[in-house]
Amino acid sequence: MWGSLLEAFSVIFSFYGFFLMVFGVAGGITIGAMPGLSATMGVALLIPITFAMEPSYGLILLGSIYIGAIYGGSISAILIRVPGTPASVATTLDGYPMTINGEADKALKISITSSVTGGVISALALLFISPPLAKIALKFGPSEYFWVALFGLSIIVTLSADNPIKGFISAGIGLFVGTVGMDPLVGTARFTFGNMNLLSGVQVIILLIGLYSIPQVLETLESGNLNKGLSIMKRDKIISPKEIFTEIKSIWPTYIRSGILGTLIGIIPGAGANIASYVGYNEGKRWSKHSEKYGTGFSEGIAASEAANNGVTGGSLIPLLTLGVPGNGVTAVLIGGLLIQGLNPGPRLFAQNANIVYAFMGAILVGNFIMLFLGYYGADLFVNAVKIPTSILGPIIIVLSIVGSYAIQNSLFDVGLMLSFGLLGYLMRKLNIDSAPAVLALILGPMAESNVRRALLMGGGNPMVLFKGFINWVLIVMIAVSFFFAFYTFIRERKNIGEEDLDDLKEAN
Amino acid sequence: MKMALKDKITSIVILILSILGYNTASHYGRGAGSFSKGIFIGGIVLSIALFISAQFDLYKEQETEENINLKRISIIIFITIIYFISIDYIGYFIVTPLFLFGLSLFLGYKNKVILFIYPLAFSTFLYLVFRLFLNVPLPMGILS
Repeated sequence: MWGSLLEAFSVIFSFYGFFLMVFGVAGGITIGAMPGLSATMGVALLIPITFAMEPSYGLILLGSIYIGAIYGGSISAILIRVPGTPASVATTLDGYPMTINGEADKALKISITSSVTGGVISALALLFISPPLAKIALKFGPSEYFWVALFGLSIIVTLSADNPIKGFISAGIGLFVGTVGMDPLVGTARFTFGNMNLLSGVQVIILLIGLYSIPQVLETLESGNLNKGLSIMKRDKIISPKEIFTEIKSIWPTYIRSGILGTLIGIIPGAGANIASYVGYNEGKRWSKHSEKYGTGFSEGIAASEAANNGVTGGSLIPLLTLGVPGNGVTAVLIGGLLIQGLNPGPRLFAQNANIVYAFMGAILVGNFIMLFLGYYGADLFVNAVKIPTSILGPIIIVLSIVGSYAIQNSLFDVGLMLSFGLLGYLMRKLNIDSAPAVLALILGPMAESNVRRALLMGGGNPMVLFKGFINWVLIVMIAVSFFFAFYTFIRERKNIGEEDLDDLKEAN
Repeated sequence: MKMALKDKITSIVILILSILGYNTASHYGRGAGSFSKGIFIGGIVLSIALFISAQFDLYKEQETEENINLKRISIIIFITIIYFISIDYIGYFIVTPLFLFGLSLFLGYKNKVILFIYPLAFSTFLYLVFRLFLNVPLPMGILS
């Protein structure tokens, strides 16, 4: 491991590698700071750019954008009370009140230091947990991979707790798109309708750009005044490094606790940075000596939220790199980034491309320190991005989506496919159908199908082959637990809604 | 349109597509159609479930009032499709600045200086990134 890590550092600290990290983190912060853009969209749009790069450098760029974008959302959350990303909603609760109280500078510095703390904790977890986990996963056969894919698919139930039917419909769309093309085992062309362009199937990245960028742009442009950029309140008091250090000294347990919580939540497939930031905030409040100050403009509130949401970054990469199961929407998009380089996520990545994997993980760690410098001194600069009117930003994103889709295979067919998925994604949003399950299913569906068929072939057609072995049963139990918790949450929420309706009825009488 | 009605229409569309898909998948031999048939059976079940949940309001989804400017969205989609169709014939360098200029103008941006400069600047920047930095060709159309 140490040898691979040292080799990775030689790539990370090369001029090109370092430049890509700085560019990636800065770009990610800018994307994250802009309400209406998301980390997922930013990574999806920039994946085609990494296509022509060497795999290590491409992944360094994408990883840097990821960590920058998750932090970037806090800048607009603090300064204009509009979270740049869903992961920073909890940050507005104390961030904006601090701005109103003239403490915007302090809020921003607490935000960047806590984000980096969470990011470093999760990056270290990624570096030390992934290799041994990958060694265990190397022992997996087709039946184990089938259950892993099913476990990932079962997370769809958790993701769509509000309406599981719509969640499964979305997953069904993804599963169907995953079957388009040549059958992996017998070579039959499926759902190509005679079109040669579909024989190799639908590129994951085409679906990702279509589902994540076009609907977002259309929703932003569909109504309202598009020519006003958002205005930013001026900062009053600039806080000195000594004062910030004193402040951090009084709340450092929150930094560490939230960072660890975020990392653990990130490891669970389906649980993302937005869940982590709320959990981090609530736990911070529960453990705080001054819980009554939460929500009034309290720096500990920002630290609790931001350390947790950036803690997700490394944690979510653990199931991705070791099992090939994405931890959240961004990591699902990162799979596209790996596939475009000809790399298959999973334990074999560590065995066959260790130098690339370690360069990626090392960049996540080092990128956090670059982000500390950029965020500490440059937050003011990045937030100016919110002044760009939507009437300019919208067309730019459409052009980026089209050119990016074209660049993958120099194919206008891909562009047409991307736009079709974009319109489908927009329609899905209007019908309250989340597109995250479709993306998960597109990646995991083919994995489940090919492995179950392989397992059955190896077992002579006997389905009991899927239930042999300790690891299989561990995975089956995890799937059952996942369904149980989703069902329990569903019943509890129906009960809460029922009680609320009863209260409303009593009040009306 | 209320969500319940939208859901009912959606369920009917999914039912029809699932039946058609199942029929298509039945023609794939040697096990190639099994997984797909399973997906479409799921689609049929889900479409019925969606219809029932819409009929009896099982999930109590909140109705959000949407103020969508349908004319604006339709024109944006139309202009984008025109851009996509013409990029190969006319070329990236002509069509892209025109698209950026035209769409921003349609969306109401009024600063004439920025309106002329940014489409050219951004198109050039993107060309430099893809063509020179990444060595990815962009369609040149009539300029080739």
